[in-house]
Amino acid sequence: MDAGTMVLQLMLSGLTVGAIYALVAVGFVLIYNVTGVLNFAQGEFAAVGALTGAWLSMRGLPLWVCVVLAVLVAAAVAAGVERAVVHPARQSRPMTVIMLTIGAGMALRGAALLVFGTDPLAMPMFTEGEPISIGGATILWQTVWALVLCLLFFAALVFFFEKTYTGKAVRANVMNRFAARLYGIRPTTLSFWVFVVGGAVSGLAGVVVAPITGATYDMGLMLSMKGFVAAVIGGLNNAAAAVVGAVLLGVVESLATGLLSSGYGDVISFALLLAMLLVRPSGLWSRAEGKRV
Amino acid sequence: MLAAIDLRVYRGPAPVLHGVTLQVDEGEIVAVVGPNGAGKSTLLGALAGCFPPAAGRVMFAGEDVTGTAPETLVRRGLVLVPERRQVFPGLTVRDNLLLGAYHWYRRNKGEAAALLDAVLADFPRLRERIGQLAGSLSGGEQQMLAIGRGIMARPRVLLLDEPSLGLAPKVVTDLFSRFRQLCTRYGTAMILVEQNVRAAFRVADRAYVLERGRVVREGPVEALREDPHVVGAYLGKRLPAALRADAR
Ligand SMILES: Nc1ncnc2c1ncn2[C@@H]1O[C@H](COP(=O)(O)OP(=O)(O)OP(=O)(O)O)[C@@H](O)[C@H]1O
Ligand SMILES: [Mg+2]
Repeated sequence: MDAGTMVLQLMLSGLTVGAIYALVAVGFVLIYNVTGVLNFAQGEFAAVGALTGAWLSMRGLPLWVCVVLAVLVAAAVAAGVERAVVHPARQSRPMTVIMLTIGAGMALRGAALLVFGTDPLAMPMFTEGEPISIGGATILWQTVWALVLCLLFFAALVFFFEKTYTGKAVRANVMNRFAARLYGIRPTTLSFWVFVVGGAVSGLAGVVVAPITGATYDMGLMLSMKGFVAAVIGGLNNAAAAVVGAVLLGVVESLATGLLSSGYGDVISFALLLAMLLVRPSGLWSRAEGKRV
Repeated sequence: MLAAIDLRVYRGPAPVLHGVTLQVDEGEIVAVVGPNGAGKSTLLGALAGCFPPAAGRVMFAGEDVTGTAPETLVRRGLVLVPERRQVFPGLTVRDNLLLGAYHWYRRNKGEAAALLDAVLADFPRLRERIGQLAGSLSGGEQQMLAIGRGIMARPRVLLLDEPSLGLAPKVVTDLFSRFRQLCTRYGTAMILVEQNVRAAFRVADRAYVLERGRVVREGPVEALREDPHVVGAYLGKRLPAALRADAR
């Protein structure tokens, strides 16, 4: 494999990782903009999805059933976190709520350890078959799935926010939470449902990545962090920018890991996070005033 | 219809309202006037459920609604159009108006469309700009939009906080002259918080003068126009502090 092919290969695997980060990051951004909560349990919802999907597939259920159930379970867990942790603390200071979500994440990891143990669970690829070859590099069918599902979800999101009445109410809530209440828009209801959606999309990310990486009880922590970094690159208040940030992060990490050494991926992404927070805290693409959602 | 009884409200650690009693009856237009920082906005906010009072009660349609959340009070017909309009800049005029009907829109879309049409007939300027983003409207148009969305909520009492803010005198006159008609047509009472005392007195039945968190005068506007304190502080020839603030 020559250098050019190798770089292409690394970029393609970066794309896969990027798509997964993107799904987590979009959940992160949605929850943050609707509720004002930085939810550091976001990656755990992905872990729940991955573990549930893999566990069910090992029990011999049809794959699509595993995927659907994984997404539903992740959504239900997210809804549980919202009701049990975020809702009771809605009057608390932001820092308190951040601590609580970190705590909820630890609790979920602990629970996953008890239920699923420490060994990674395997899950079959969504589509059997030879990887696709592009210019000497190869791309897994699972990557195609990741990209397609990511695109579909994003299209659905855009449709919801641009075309539906409820979507506009959510946008109104993002623009001015105080005024939205005067219109009768209930912040607590929105908070619940945005966790459901954020949980579902993270669960989807988890169950899509499980066939590639396997599912482990502690995979959520890194995904939370990476989702957060991607969201910060996008400026925290723009879902589309977060997707771009996620893909960028995935590719940069993959290149760093492949060309330097395997330890460098995480170092680079956290260096990126620090740099973003110090230099461009409102995102790489921010204009003077950030446009929200 | 709506009454505040000995209402005491804090904003942060500071007491702002020190026992305010006020009421508005069905179909009535009541003005609340007073200088900057008197607590007028706090009073409206407290009535609408935004600031839970430390003491006192809010009665609405015969029920004690003290401490009820704003999103619940809207459903019962107590609608606040807040200070500085606060329309949603990134949504179109149509979407802003339809969201005004948020709590009943899904149950009766036909009626919402009819009410939207009626509101647009009342404010033809909004019909011309129906597809435009609310953020791109002029101040006067945004105020019409804010009031229009308030009507879309089907209010029984409409609370307007300084609708004259930032508007040219002619626009204020024009806008205020329609309040009576709107109240009659849509069957709502109105509390009008204003710094523009003359304009408010022209349209109101009764008025309260709020100073430093207390009601210092109240009565029919005809009586208040003769009141030496009101004349001296708010209606005098020399522009007193309360009116100079208009220029903001
Ligand atoms: N968010 C807040 N936190 C703390 N104090 C506040 C807050 N908002 C207002 N206040 C204080 O409450 C008092 C009354 O404010 P309020 O906005 O009710 O006055 P107002 O009569 O509406 O004035 P204006 O004519 O300027 O709108 C002021 O002294 C103000 O400093
Ligand atoms: Mg005010």
